[in-house]
Amino acid sequence: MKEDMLVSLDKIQKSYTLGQKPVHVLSGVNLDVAKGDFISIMGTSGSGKTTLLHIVGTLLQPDNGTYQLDGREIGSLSDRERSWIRAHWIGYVFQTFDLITEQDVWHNVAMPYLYRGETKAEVGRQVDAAIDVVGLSERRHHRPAELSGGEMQRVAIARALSIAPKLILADEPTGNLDDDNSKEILNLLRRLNDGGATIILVTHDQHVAGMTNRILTMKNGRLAS
Amino acid sequence: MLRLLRLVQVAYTSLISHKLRSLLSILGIVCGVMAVMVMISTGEGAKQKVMSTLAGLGLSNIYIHQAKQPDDQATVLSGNQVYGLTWNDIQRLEKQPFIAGVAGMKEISQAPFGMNKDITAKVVYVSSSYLEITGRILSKGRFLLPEDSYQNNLVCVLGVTISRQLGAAGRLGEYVRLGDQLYKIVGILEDTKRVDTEVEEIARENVDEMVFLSFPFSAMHRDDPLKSSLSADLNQIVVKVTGDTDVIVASEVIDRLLYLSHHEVHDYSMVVPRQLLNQSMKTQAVFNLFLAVTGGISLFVGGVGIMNIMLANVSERKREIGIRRAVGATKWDIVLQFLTESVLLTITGGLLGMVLGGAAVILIEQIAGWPVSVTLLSIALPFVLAVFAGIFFGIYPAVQAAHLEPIQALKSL
Repeated sequence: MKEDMLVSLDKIQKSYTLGQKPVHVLSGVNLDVAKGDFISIMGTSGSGKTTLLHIVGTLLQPDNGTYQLDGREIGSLSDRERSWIRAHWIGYVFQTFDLITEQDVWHNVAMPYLYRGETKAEVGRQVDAAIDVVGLSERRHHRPAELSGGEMQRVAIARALSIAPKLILADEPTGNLDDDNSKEILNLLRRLNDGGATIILVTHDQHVAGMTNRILTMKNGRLAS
Repeated sequence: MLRLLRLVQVAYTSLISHKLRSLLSILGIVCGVMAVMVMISTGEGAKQKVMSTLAGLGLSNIYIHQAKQPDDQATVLSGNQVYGLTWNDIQRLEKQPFIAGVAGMKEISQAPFGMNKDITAKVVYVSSSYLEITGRILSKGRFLLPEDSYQNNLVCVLGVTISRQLGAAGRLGEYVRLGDQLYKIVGILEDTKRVDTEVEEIARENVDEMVFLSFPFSAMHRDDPLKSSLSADLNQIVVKVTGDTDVIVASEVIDRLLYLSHHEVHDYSMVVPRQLLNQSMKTQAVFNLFLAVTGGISLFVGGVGIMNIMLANVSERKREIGIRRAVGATKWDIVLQFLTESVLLTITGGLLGMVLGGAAVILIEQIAGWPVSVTLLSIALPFVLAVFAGIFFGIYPAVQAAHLEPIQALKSL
């Protein structure tokens, strides 16, 4: 156990069955991410980088290996406990923004709080602050359909940010954005990292990966620097 | 609590964004609640009407009427036999330990009546115990007394309609003419206020339109036993059984007693309000079962409609489920969210059904003239059943949603 590490993966294995054939996606992945780090994981489509991200995000359980998040063994946790970890420690940003179209910006950002049980006053403060950080204070009552792609991704980042997570996981956050919006989102993530946030970003874009502190590449189910 | 409110808010936002679909999905529940409410209200109305009718006759009473004499009966009767109810019957019945009181009645005529204007009334001789046994109430004066009979007092008691028709001449203390005799009005009965005629049909009387006189002493106590037995004295005998007696068993004993004393001729008929009530309650129980089955089927169909829509919802919103799981929702949170949506749908359907059901009940009462009774049960039961249907039929889609693997859900488009 490396005490200064926020994320510590040791010999993580994961395989799926495709038809009747097992497909080994992760074949003993080791990864250490220190607090305040900003790393990118690159790889071709189907290389297993998103699978790895979901294991780190506790949405998926590995077949073998150990995973510690901030010193806590994740593998033995129940579904309920892993949900608690996601609601309190992890902020997710997806490629397709994944906002609830029927709800406005404020309620989308406040969504994780529905599962945390905080009082309304606390929620209001945190959500407003997160919306301010991504620069969408004027659009808090707009619905996703009224926002541009870049704005929607900023809302998604605000949603991840609002809970003050230990770890932000971004899965191809600029995959659906044009260059200007991509740059804007990357700058935002960079600023958050400068402010102390730990970020793991998955991308297949060399330019995006170049914005991070460390680039890891997924190949043959293993990570390499 | 706050969380529940947020869940309701989320559910509301989700449902309101698909207004038409939500509305169509609750139609079954609306119809189900409406049907159950209408059926309970009309069923309850009918039950109350029967109850009040039969209770008005006295549930410990037995009404014995003289049966119409068939043409061939005259040849059967001979010697001392007489067709119909007599004073002898009253005397026999009074001796029975399970009988608390007996009153006789004989219709004498529908003769011209009144001082200044002639009114057609049903004029009857009755026993002085008639008032107490039948539970009728006096509004003014007194009822007929035993001494009125002994002393041959020319006094009468009027039904309220007769009193009103006579106007000033129908007041207490006034005299009315019956044939060539003048009778003093000593009492007026209270208005029975019965709009239906069922009591009259069963008891074969409408006291509001009757004039009551005491039996002449000679009619009650004839010295000549032969003469007494030859006359068909009474049209009706009302029997009140003692409090601890089963009135239905008592009616069977009385029937046997009369049958034997009438030389095994059924020249009378009996009406037992308690028996009618029991029959009515049995009929009501069958009707209630029918209501329950019909209402249950309606709500079942409505519930299946809700489940169908919720399953479609879950299928359509897999990605949303994945996102919610990613930001920290537990399986139970997902169950609660979809369950809240289905319950919200059924509550809306239930409320709409209650409003439309209420309107339908009013229309049925106004247009069809059926007796209805909107009780707490008729409102609450269909609503509670609808909410129950929402929970019952919402559980399966909600559990389906919760058991989606977050990763698979996130891969959905």
